Amino acid sequence: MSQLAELLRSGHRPVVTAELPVIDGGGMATVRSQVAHFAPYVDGINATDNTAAHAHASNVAVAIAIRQLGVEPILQVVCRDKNRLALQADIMGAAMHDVTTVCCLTGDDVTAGDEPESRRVFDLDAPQLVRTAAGMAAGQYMSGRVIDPAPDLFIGAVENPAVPPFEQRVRRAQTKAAAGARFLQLQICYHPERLEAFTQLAQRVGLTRKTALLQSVCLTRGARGLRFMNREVPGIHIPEETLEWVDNAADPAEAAYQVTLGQARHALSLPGISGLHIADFRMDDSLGRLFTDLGLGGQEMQDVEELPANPMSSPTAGS
Amino acid sequence: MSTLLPLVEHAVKKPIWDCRMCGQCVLHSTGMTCPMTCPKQLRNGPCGGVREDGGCEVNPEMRCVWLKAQGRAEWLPRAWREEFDELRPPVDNQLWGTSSWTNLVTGRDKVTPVSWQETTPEIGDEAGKPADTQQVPGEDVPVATCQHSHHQSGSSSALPAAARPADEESPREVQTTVVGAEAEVVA
Repeated sequence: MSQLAELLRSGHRPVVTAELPVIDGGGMATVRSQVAHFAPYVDGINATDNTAAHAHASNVAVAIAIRQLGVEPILQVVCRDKNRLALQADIMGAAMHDVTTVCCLTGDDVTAGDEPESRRVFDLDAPQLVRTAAGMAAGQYMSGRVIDPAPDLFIGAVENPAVPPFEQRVRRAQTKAAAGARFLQLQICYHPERLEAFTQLAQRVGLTRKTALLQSVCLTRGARGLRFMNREVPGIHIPEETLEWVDNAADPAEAAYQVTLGQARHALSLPGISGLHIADFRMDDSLGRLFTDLGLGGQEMQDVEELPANPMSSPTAGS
Repeated sequence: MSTLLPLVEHAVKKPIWDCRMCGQCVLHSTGMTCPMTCPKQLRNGPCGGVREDGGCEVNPEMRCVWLKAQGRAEWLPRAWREEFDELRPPVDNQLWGTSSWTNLVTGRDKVTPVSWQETTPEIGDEAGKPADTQQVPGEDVPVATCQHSHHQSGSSSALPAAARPADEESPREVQTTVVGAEAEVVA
C-alpha cells in the first residue's frame, strides 16, 4: 500500500503533495533537481499528464523517475489523450515500476493547449476512469480479463470547488468516491467562501470519512502570474480585487506569497481538509518559507518517524 | 427495420435534443439534456473547467451542458432525478448510429464493463477482492436481458449513487463495514 495512503489513514498531520513542473528537456538531471526542490517537504509528487493540453515528457516516464529518486509519485492520468486501452496500459505499466498511486482527471480540453488541432479522445470520463482503476485493483481489466496479482492501487481524483455548478460539485465528488477515489486533490480556489461551503457539505454528507481532501495552492511570482492563470487556466477564476491588491502592493512578489499563505492557512483550518497540494511557479526559497509559516515540518513532522520508512519524513523542513 | 429505425429516431431526437445517435440514450437521467453534446462528451457531470458565468470551457458562448441538465432535472419525476448522480458506464462505441430504442428493448444499452460488475470499488480491504457480493454501478439494470449479465436481481445497488446526506450508510452491507473501517482514514 502506498505511503500516502498510510499517512492519510493515520491522520497525524497535514499531508502535503506537490506538482512536479513539466519536463521538456534536460532529462533526468532536470527531474532530479526539481524533485530535490520538493523532497524535503512533501509526501508525494504528481507526475502530470500533458498539463493544460501541452505535450511534455510522459506521465508514466516521469512518475518512474520520481520513484527512482526515492519519492512517492502520484501518477496523473488524464482522459483527453488516450482511449480506455491505453489508460489501463499506462496504469499497469506504471504499477510494474511500483507507481501505484493514481490520480484520475478528465483533463483540460485540447483547445486549452498549443495544439488545438488534436483529436480529443475522452473515451472515458474521470469517474469512469476511477471505477476502471478500482476494477484493476480488484484484479480485472474492464473486459473482465484477470490481472493476477492485482496492482495494489491507491486511487484518487480531483474536483473543483470554485466553479459552477457549486451544489453539484460535492455530489460529483461523491460519485468519484463511490467509484473508488480515496483522495481528491481540489483545484486551486481563490474564493475562500466557496471552498468553505464545499468542505462543509462534504463533511455533512460523509464524503470526508472515506476520501481525503487535499487543497491545492499555487506559489506565483506576482500579479502577472496570477493574471496568466486567471486568463489561461480553465477552471481558475481570481477575483479582480485580489489581482489589484497584488498589483498595487509595494512588493508584488511578497504580496503574491501572502495570498498563497493565506489560502493555505485557511484551507488547513477547515475541518475536512487533510492537507495541501502545492504547485510552485517560483521555485525559490518560498516553499520552505511556506512550511515554516504554516508551522509544518517542525515538530509535527516528527510524528512521521513512527511510520515505515518515508524518505519525505525528515524533519528538516523549514530549516 | 434495423436500418429504418435509426433514421426515424434521429429524425425525432435530432431537432429536439441535438441527438448524436450514441445508441445508448440516458436522457431521462440527465435532465433530458444530451451529455453527448458536451464537447468532452462527459456522461458523469461537469468537468472542472466551467466558466464563472456558467459557460463551457471549450465554447464559452455555450452554457455548460451539465448546468442545463441540472436545472432541467428538477422538473423531472423523482425516479429519474435520483439517477442523476449515478455512475453511468462508458459509451459502447459499437453502438454509434444504432437505435437506442432497440438497444433499450434488448437491454444492450445497459451492458456495463465486466470488471464493473464483478469487483467492488473498495480498495486495500477485504471487500476489494473480486467479490461474491455483486456490485453493479447503476441500479436500473434490467437483469434478465443483459448480455454479459452476472447481475442478480435483488443485489442491491452497489455504487450508492452519490449518497444523499441521509443514506450515506445505507445501501450495501459490504459498504457499511468498509465505511466504518475507513472512518478514521481522514479523521
